[in-house]
Amino acid sequence: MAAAKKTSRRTKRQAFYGMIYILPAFLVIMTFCVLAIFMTIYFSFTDYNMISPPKFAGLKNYFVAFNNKTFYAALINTVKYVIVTVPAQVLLSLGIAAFIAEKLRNKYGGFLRSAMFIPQIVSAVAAASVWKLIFRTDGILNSIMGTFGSKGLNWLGDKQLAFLCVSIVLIWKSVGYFLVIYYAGIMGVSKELYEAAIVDGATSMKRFWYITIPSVKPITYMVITFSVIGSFQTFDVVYQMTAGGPGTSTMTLAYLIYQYAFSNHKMGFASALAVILLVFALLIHLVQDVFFKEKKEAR
Amino acid sequence: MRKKLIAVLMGLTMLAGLLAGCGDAEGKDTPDTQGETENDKDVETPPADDTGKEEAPAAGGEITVWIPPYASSDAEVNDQEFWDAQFDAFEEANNCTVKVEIIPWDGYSQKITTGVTSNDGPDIIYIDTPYDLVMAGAFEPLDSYFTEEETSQYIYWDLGKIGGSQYVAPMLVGNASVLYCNMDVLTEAGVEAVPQTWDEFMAACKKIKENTDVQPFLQSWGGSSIMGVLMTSFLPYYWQAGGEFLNAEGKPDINNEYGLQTLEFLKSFLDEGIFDETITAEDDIKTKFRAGELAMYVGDTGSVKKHIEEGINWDFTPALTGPTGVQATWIAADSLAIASNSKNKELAVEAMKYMLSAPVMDAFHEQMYAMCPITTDAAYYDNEKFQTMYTEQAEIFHNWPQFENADSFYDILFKNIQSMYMGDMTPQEVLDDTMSQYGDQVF
Repeated sequence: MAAAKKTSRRTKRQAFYGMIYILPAFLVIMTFCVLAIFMTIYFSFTDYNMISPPKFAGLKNYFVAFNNKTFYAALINTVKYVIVTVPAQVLLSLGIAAFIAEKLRNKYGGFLRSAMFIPQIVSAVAAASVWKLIFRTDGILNSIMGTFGSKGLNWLGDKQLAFLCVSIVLIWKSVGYFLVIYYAGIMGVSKELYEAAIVDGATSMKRFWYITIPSVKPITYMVITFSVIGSFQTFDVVYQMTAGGPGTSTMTLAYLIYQYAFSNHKMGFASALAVILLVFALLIHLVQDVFFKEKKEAR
Repeated sequence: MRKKLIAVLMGLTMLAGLLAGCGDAEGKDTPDTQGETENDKDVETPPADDTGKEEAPAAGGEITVWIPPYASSDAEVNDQEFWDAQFDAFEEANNCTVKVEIIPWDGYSQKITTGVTSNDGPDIIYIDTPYDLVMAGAFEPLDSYFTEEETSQYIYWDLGKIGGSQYVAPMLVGNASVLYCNMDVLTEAGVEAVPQTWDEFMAACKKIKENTDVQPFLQSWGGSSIMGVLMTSFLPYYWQAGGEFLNAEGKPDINNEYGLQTLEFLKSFLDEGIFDETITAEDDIKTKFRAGELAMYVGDTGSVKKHIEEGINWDFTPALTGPTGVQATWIAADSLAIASNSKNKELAVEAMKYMLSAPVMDAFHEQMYAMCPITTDAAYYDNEKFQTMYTEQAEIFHNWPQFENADSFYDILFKNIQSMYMGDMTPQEVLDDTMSQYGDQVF
């Protein structure tokens, strides 16, 4: 009985110390993540300009959003970014990671991994500024094209090309990060599987298809999730390179939220857009979740 | 027991760190940027008693000033050093600390919005389009802080009136958008003088295109500097067409014959082959002009120093005259405001007066960026070619129209004009859609 009491007291004490350990992180997460989300939801039902106190406005902001032409343009562009960048980021990072793991397990592979990771640690605004210089009509890219006799292209002044340029920068920025994750995953796959496949005469393509891809499926799930979220949050590259233009061809929801919040001082409306963005991201994540779950069950 | 003690101590330490991070800035040390630098010694500092005040108040305290950079990249003294040096005398006379923060131009208005809404923001704010923040109550009315005698010294004082009250004090007035011409190119093309009217201008562009290899005229409808483009590439033409930006209710209304005429005139440069499809891309117009690759462009008077350095044989006209005989262009009238949540308004106003005083502004115009004198006792430092324009043609100048959600309006207009140049909209559709979208956003 006494021993049981002692154990219980010790468990309580341990729980108490545990709580003290996690308290700082808990407060940070509560303040900057959870509380921020609830405040955004609250502001979305108000008229709020960040200076005067918010006034309750019911669903007005949501009605206005769904009748706003630019909102639809931004939403369509955001979905287009997801469709273009997510597969490219996943396929490129997986492909390069598999190539390094298979053929370049040496200092060159290490250098390639590090080099490709650099864009991830570079400030997005700084990177976008450099890319802007590259894509200018009198920029490096057109100069190179000029040496081959080409007239060059209006990279950031044409609707389709501007969208393509922003997508290229988004892909370039994230591939290195996902590559490192994939590489770690591939290195964790049992070597015996590959050795057995080699003995059975499987080509490197077959080993990639039948061993690597199924083995890194949980990582693929994570990479797709991160990539989708990242694409939905596309802001800084657009802000720096095109300001959403020309026209609204590169406008994203995140950029529109920023504009309404800080240029138009309509924090309530911007919050409503942020909530809509959150719901869309969650819906896509749900679809993705169901898709992966079904595949798992099918196996 | 030792482990428990360590656990508790570590937890408390982390918590203390967190709380310290959330605390206010009072009691913090003055940042290093306030320290004297090598260059401080080279900056001319006016004595505190040159500001017109006979006796400085024993104010005390600390205030923060937010101001954007004006020094050129090759300037001997940067903005931080300049303002720190200027405020040395003021700090000594008022027994206070003035913390000057140089805020980059990129996203400046957004930074101001977040700054004035925080409780630890600036006391004095440099601002170009103050309307929304004034309406939101972010700025202190200045009427009661300035005597009539003081306001009579400020040449452009009335430009700071919004809704009948004085909310901002004009500080940097000038930098008008003028039409620059490379006279060597014009002469080569057979254009004898700087064009003065829309028709003359179009005719000159065509002559230059026919007779030289130089691009006649260029605008840059790309990139993210929306206001910078509109103030040189749309507003002057709209005013020249005879248009008024605001209607009787003080709301923007450009959907009229003048707006249409303006856009049709701008589009005609594309139709005539003066512009090409790269008009929607960001172009370094000034560099092209200085390299002799561009014959004419509309730009700020502040750029002239580098044109001269590059040896360009330049001339200018303050503004073209539109079809209705109106000559008009844009001029900067950026101002200083006092945050309504400033904890030391009296001191902030004194510092504002000091910044606007002739000795400080003369030093600014001489060392940082030459603009018009803003007080009756200040000197003229800008290029002498512009002096007549600034002193005798004040009626042609217009500053940003002040109205609700102006940034949003300009953004919509900018993107729609881009669409017009890409062939997605007609000039009339640009006007219709701009007004309609803006109407949807003012709710």
